[in-house]
Amino acid sequence: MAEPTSARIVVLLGAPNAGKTSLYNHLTGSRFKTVNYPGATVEYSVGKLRAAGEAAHVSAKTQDCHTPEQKPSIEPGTVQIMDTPGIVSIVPRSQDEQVALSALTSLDTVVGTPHKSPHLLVVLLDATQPARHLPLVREVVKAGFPTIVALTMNDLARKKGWDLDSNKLSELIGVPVVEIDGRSGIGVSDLVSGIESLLPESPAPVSVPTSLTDTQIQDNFRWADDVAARAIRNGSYRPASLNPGLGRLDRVALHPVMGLVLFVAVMTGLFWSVFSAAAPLMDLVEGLFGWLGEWAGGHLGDGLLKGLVVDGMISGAGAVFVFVPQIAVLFLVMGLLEDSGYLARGSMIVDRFLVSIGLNGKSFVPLLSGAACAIPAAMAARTIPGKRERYLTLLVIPLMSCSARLPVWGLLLGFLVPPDKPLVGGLALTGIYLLSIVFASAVAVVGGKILKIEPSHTGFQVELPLWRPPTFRTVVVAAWDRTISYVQRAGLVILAISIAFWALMNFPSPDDSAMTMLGKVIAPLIAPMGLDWKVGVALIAAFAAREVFVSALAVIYAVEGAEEATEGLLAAMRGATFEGTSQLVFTPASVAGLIVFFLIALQCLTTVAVMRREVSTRFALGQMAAFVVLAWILATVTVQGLRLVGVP
Amino acid sequence: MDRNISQLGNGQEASIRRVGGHSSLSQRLQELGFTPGATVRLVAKAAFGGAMAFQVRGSTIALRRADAACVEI
Ligand SMILES: Nc1nc2c(ncn2[C@@H]2O[C@H](COP(=O)(O)OP(=O)(O)O)[C@@H](O)[C@H]2O)c(=O)[nH]1
Repeated sequence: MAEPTSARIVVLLGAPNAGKTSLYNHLTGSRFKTVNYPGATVEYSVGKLRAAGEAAHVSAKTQDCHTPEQKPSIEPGTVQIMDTPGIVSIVPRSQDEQVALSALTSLDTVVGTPHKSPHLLVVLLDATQPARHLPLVREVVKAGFPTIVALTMNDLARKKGWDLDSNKLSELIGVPVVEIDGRSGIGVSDLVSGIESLLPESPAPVSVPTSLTDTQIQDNFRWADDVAARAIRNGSYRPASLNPGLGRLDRVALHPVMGLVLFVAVMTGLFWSVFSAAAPLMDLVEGLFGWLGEWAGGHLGDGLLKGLVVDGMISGAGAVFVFVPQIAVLFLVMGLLEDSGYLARGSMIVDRFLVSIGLNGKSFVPLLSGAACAIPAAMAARTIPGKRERYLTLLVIPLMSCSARLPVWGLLLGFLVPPDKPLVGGLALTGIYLLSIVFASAVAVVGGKILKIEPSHTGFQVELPLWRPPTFRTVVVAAWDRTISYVQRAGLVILAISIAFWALMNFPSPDDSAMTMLGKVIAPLIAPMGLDWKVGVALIAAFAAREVFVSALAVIYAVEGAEEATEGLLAAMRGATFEGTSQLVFTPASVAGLIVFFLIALQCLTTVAVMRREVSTRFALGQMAAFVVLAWILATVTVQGLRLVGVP
Repeated sequence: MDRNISQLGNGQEASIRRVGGHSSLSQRLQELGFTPGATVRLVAKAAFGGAMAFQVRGSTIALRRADAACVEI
């Protein structure tokens, strides 16, 4: 926990998608990605209020594999802005809403301030749906918080045909109201002046209700309808006129038949693009590493150093980094989806199917982000209100085919599919994603039978935000940030493991190395999967990070960092035989078994740590053990089954 | 039999009379704007008896069919 500080805290509060993250970025000068999906902020972010005119310090924080936990640090004597997950009401009903509420009532435990409540609240009010977001404003003002209302989405409201009078609103609510534009930042300096003039030295005493009665909720809405009607400047306010029916896009996206077809097309397109859009870039990276290997080989002379650099580092890293373009494309397309507002529609469409396997429409976004990485996915699962559904979602998240598996798929599919058939390759990759969904569904059903938690009465409700044309810049910047941090993390692990591997294989001597000894021990365990000890060692190394499997094989087979990194490795795999025999190690059957193994095995220790935090130690360890054992069993069954029916 | 918003036809509007169901669900529905007296319009239905989208107080909100059945008209 941080030291108690005398910093003053301003908390941003508001409904999901009201524009909190955009405002936070303007106030602090950082560049978090904003996501057009309810519940994108699942942890707090805290940043120093930027004085007017101060240049933006570009600090990127994207939520991904590598930043599972960030303790906010707070400088004494400053004004700190705190972003919170979106809430609908002052009474929380899911974990992420609970997180937001803690920022109001127990700051001391969250960021270590000496006081429990913040100095000031900035409540965001979406001008396109004032009547729905005003009750929250009323509750916090009633609770005693010094409050400023930031009125966002005014451009969209005008497009809808009305204009909110901020002076009138302020008069009716009794607190200052400042109009801002979350995209351009217009009005933010007025808001900052407002914050500065209103910010008290110490927090006001507050009393936050822990429950509301039906009467109170209804009364809040009666008040809100009235305030909204009186603050709307032009046109008369009739609730029905606020319900204009669906726009053109939604008439397709939410259509029972066309919507489903579109959904399947979008999902297929997402995974397809990972394969096809990345192909030209992959050639480029491959060329680059080939050139690097030759260049280094030419300059290092012959000897140990050359072996270490060329065979250890360059070929190890190259074998994995060839697949970075695929990962970048995945991040980019997912970013586009998040920014557009489609994900909420998607969750509405799949709720029906997810319910039947014990999950919830709200599991959709966590599961989909699991296709990038299980860590942010586990955090996103906090938006699922029911405990049972949340735990089941957390159970199956590691079965989603995450980006760390992409290099593995690339290699194994490269082995199975001839390179002159890119169409088959794209199909095969889509098939792997489908298979991961099948496994996850089966595990959810079985897990539901084992898990002893009563179903809760939370149902499924999700707000469908307005469609927004994705802001190209935001999406590209976010994808770039995530890719770079992927490369950094994976790069470090891969380099370390590659070097360690190279050392294990060459000492005491190449013929009698530490690696061979280790290999002999694990050989019996790996034999049922139709593989030899060398692959077994690579599988164990993959517990450091799944993509290490690829670089470990490259090092084991001493693939020269020549021309084509993957081609070299594939050629080595095609020629690999069990020691002392001419029996091939990599056959269609054993490679299919490997695919099954990687689909199921939980080989990511960060995931285990996060699951432990989100649920319990027992859950996390049980999950890992179960998935590793299951992976081994199913891989063995696959290999032996295929051999029985005559597949080599 | 009481009518509820899950029985609305596409594009149909109705005024809410009562919100029933388990208390935590009925409160959440009301917090989302489905309060007695509010006008609701059904705008979309997902396939195979899936979730439905409603407009209430200017927002579009998707509800599972069983949840929508708690909102009586
Ligand atoms: N048209 C318009 N869009 C906005 C405005 N403020 C934010 N946005 C967009 O609304 C979406 C949701 O904003 P975000 O800051 O992520 O909301 P949060 O969920 O409350 O953090 C993003 O796509 C923003 O670019 C605004 O004033 N006008």
